[in-house]
Amino acid sequence: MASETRFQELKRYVRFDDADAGLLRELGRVAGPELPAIAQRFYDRIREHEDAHAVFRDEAQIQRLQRSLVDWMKRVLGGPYDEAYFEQTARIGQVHVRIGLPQRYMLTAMALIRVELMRVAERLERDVPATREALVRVLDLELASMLEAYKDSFVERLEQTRRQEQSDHGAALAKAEQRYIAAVDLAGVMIVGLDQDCRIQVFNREAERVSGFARDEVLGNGFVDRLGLDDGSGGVEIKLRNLLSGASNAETLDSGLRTRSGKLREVVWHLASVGAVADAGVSVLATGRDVTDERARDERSRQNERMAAIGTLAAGLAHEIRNPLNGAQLHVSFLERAIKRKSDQADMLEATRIVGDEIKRLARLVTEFLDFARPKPPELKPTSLTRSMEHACGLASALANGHGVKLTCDVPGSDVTFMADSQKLTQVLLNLLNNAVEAVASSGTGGTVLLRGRRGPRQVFIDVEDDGPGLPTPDAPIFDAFYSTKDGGTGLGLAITHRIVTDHRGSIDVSSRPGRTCFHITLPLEPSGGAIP
Amino acid sequence: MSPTAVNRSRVLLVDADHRSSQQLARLLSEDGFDVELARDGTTAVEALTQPRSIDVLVTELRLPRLDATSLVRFARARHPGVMVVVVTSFANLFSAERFGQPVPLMLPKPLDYDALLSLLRERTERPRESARPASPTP
Repeated sequence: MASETRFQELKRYVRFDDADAGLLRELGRVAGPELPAIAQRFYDRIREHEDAHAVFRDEAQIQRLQRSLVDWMKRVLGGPYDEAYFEQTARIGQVHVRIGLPQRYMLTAMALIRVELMRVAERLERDVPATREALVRVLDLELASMLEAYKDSFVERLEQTRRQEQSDHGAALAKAEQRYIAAVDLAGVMIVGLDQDCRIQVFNREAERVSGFARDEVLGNGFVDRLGLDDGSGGVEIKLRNLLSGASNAETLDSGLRTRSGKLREVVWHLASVGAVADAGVSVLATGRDVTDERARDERSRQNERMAAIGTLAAGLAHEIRNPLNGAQLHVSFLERAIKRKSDQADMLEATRIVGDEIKRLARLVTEFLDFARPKPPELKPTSLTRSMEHACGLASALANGHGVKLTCDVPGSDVTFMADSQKLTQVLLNLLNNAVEAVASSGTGGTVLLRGRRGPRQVFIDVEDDGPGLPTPDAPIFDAFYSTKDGGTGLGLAITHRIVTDHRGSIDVSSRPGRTCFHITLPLEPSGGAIP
Repeated sequence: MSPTAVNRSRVLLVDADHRSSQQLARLLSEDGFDVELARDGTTAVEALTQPRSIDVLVTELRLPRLDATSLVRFARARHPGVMVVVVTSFANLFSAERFGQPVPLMLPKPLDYDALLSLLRERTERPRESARPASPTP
């Protein structure tokens, strides 16, 4: 039976044979004229049924289908019942599937056709029972063939659904994973995952940004060593051990972090034991926030508050000091004059002059202190770097020449204009130059002082370099008020310098060793947001 | 050395620090000025309402009873062309512009007497011209 087709097999099953075909041809001949009417009634019935009707698009489609139904009935009653016939039937079944006709309506619709054609058969002059049987057989063959299309479609849909579900599931998983990866990676906090041995297994983008390390540079490295974590009391290891041993579930840690370039950042960590939700690689999850800038801002704002308080006090105190100084000065002037009137009083005159000088010195201290404690905010105007440098060098040259110190002014190749208070900038440069000249001169061997100006991408760099003996100790608090190593110094010069630079939103630092001391100033080209109030 | 009495310029010194004012007055009168003293704003106003003319007003910025800007305004209304010198221990915190035109001279305390004297001499030689805007202090 291997050569038997499905249609042949079905025909054999219902015992449809050439006799049946002949009977049906006779029925077709009789029914022929009635077929359009039968089709009409069929579709009228369908129109009455909401759900069945819903599958149709419009009236034109129904007309077309009605004509197809007539053709179909002619074919069913005419044959020939060969493989081509079967394929045709299968195609009709596929159309039913395609337009979404439910099987129940196809079956019951077939009942309608059957009844109509039975009625025609009843009117035949002969072979009525045999024709009825033939009709039942051929229509069931039709149904069986058409239902195959539903079955094929159903299987296909099942498979498609399964494939879809599989791919949906995969996509959903991938998406969820992607979301987590993105969440970890793009989080605004450092996220570092550690394994049992505290080696880094997860390192997100913020962690890369803060530490300066690329992920592949740290993965597999020890958390504490690689990031140079240090809370100043060796607590880092203890806390990690507590988490790994289960002694605690979470710890907070306030530690320094050494960046790739060696800078120190302050990071507040939350360390959590991953515990039950642990995946194979990660035992401790560390989330860290870089608080360096925040703390610096807080410190600056506290400093500003302190300075404002000191400034108010200083202003009041300055008044209280200057008034008695004023009285003293006027009396000294009077004394001086009285002494001058008498001859032979040179020593008294000298003593009076010294008192006058001391009063002036006190007054200068008061003025400088007020400058430091309650300065006028800088008046930022476009300022030429070259001109400022040359101006300051010009002012410092007298002192340099007096001490036999060589003063060099190394201006940028092309001038830079930036926003600054030129008067205050001159004060800064002059102050540093004078200090340098005095430092070099103190070693008594001539020496050199260099003022160098350069432009950065968004800032200017100014260096004041000397080959003097250097600072007494590398971490001397030289920018603090009243710290002085010079005889007669007020200890306010560098404090004022520092204040002016920071009022410009710049920074100043110093590196010093015997033979080379360099003050390095960075000033923004545009101090955004103006000066610090 | 001292000019004759008719030529002497008249200076009104206003400062709560009386002892210093007295010493300053002593020096100024030795140098040929007629000096009147006031320890506060209202006393100064009284002195300004007297019929005698005032050529120079030297006042502390911060005064009891009347602020210096009002005092200066009153002096200028009463004695047009009066030369105004503001002496203050707050020189770096106050701008002379707030006293209006002409901008008065501002001298910090402790006062450099010689500087004050040369300014006064320069301006009072031709007193009526002292109304022009003052040049900044050196």
